[in-house]
Amino acid sequence: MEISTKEYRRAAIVTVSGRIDTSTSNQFEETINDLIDNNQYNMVMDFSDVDFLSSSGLRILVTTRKKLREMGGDIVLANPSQRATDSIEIAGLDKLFTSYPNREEAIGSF
Amino acid sequence: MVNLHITVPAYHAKIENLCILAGEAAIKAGFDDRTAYACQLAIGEACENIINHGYKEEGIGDIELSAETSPGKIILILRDSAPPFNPAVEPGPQHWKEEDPPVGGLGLLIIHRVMDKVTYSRTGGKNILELHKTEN
Repeated sequence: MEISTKEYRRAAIVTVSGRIDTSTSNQFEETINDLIDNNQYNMVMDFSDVDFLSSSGLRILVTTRKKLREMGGDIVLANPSQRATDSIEIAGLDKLFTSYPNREEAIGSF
Repeated sequence: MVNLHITVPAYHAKIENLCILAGEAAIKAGFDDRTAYACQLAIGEACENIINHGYKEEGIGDIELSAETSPGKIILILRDSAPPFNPAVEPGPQHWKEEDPPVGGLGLLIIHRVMDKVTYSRTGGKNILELHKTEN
């Protein structure tokens, strides 16, 4: 898994490529928590290059959403890959995460 | 029928190898990419459970995966030597509120949603989990 972040005025973008599973989920969670510690409460997950998303990653998305919403923020998806979309839908979590076709529209939603 | 087999030490980082084999087997059975991914996902979840809930730590046993494929059908068989752990019991209906979504049990839910049949047995000191998928 490769992960990078970019902070904008309205939101932070977290770009992930590769696998989000039990062996990489700690790194994913630490990156998100660093952003929260830096007072970033609006987040865009760019999952366009995610090729595997297991329940370990889904759990982090769910807990992050809860944390951010408690702080007045939210989490949305930008251009998620078919595989990331499938994982979220199979788990029945698709209603929780609004998906936008690109980063610009995702950031613009905040 | 095509049979594929792999054994790996029970480390989280090795789960990817098992997923790759499951995906290859699904393609050999004639499934499309999305169904092959669903099979990979089920194997990934089952293996996370074996390590986290069966062995309870990494590196103290192995995980074996056998894939039996024929046109339009795949049977994925996982074997491990952890204490008895049965993931074949289907989770009950999911009743949750949008403000309080679930964080536990997602792995089992995914396995049962993507596979047609899940069976568990214990033979010779090993857990044997069979995941069946047939083309619709």
